[in-house]
Amino acid sequence: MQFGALALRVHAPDPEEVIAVLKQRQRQAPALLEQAPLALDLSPLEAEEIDLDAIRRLLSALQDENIAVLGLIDGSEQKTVAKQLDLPLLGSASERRSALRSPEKRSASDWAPTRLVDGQVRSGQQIYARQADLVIYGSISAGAEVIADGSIHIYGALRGRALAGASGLGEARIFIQEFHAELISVAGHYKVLEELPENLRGQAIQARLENDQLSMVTLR
Amino acid sequence: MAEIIVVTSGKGGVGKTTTSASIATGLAQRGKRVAVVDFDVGLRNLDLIMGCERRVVYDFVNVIQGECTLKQALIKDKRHENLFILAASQTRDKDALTVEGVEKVLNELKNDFDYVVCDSPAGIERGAHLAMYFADRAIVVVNPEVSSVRDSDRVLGIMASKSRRAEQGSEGISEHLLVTRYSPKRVAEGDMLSIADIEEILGLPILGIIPESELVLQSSNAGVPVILDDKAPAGQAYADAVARLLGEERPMRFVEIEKQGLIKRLFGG
Ligand SMILES: Nc1ncnc2c1ncn2[C@@H]1O[C@H](COP(=O)(O)OP(=O)(O)OP(=O)(O)O)[C@@H](O)[C@H]1O
Ligand SMILES: [Mg+2]
Repeated sequence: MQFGALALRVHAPDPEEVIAVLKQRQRQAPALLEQAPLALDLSPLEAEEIDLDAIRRLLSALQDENIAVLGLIDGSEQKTVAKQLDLPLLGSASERRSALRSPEKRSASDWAPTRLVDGQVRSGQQIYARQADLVIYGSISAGAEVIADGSIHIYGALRGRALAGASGLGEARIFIQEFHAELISVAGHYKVLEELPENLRGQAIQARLENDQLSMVTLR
Repeated sequence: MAEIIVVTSGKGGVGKTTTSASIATGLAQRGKRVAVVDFDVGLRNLDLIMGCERRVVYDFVNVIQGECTLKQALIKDKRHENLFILAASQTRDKDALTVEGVEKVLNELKNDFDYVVCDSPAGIERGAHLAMYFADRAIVVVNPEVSSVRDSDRVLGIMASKSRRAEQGSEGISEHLLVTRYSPKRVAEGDMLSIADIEEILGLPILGIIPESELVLQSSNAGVPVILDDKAPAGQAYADAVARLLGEERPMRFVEIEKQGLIKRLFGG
């Protein structure tokens, strides 16, 4: 199974309203929201309607509903908002469908040093390495999420989600010492692992894009 | 200065209050001065298990709101003169607990006691957060089932980022797992997670394993913490956990399944 992120177009700045609409959708298609992470699209809102606190409340309300938010869809107003909320900026839907952003696009100046995290990432926690690679020295629990604009290296078990190349870098890869993931993604290409493939369970794995397809192979 | 220990879990009904009562009593049996505080405002329970429900005059909320002194609200245990209970309010709502109020009461308790044991309500809302916020040490109670382990993991994550120690950037809360309602038979039958599974998923040392036992309910109904029943395996297991909390080494008992491997793993063989 492979998805792109679902885009949630936010028309009203009021979190309660957005959640109500989502719940209604969820009743119509329960499986959808459970599995695919959401990308928030704030473009229907006027610049002055974008209220950071309201968006923060929306994010925490979504988290309470167990809905993962992957990032903001790139648009004119969103760059600063994304930075202030520490969320990844995702290519616009059309851009994601066409060519993935090339590595040349990341200029050396705004690429940050590798983000290093020691210890276990627990259920409900999210770690995002903006414009950087991410190294986790520890395990990632079910219900936890690690995201990087670059590649991700996990020295431990991955039981939750890992999303590399979150802003569209197709060359990003994920290395996992012990594979039990719920979901992995590279540059917006997702795999929801409802059932773990027997040959990969507990193995050391590399995930990457090959011809726009997510491939997962054991390390040798 | 007392050490503040929170007994927490995320999931409800896993044995937090049972554990708070037995750990507090066990520490008192070892000669420590102990206060045990019920944070479950609206669902007061600890006083029942400690057998002092008919002696509650003032409660935690009364103290916070200045309606009585802390001394007036502390109930002396009928069996140990160095053990005191601070009951929760049954009539107020949860918002009666404030950060400042809780801090003030805990600071006062810290001066008088060696240990302050905080019995957390279930969930990750205000009451549970306040119970863990000032803690130095946490006992995370977990049952051998997937949902309980998942909730404990969530609580551990919150403690790591939203406790006062975390906010001040000082050394984190020291964390222990206490597995309760453990049934070796059901583990063998594949109905329950094994100790090894729980340890691996949560990545924490285990303070104790309390077997499932009907005697726990019986002693709770009688208002006698099960640790006082030294013939009950659950009581003995709590006594072992108290000893480990005080830094003593005790082999894990009542875990027949994979006993050898477990002891090796826990104590380096
Ligand atoms: N080891 C055990 N064996 C059998 N029953 C147990 C054991 N430990 C606890 N129980 C029972 O489980 C029930 C819940 O226990 P307890 O009230 O201590 O849980 P709790 O985590 O405090 O619940 P709450 O979340 O509602 O505060 C009680 O009926 C208690 O007697
Ligand atoms: Mg309780």
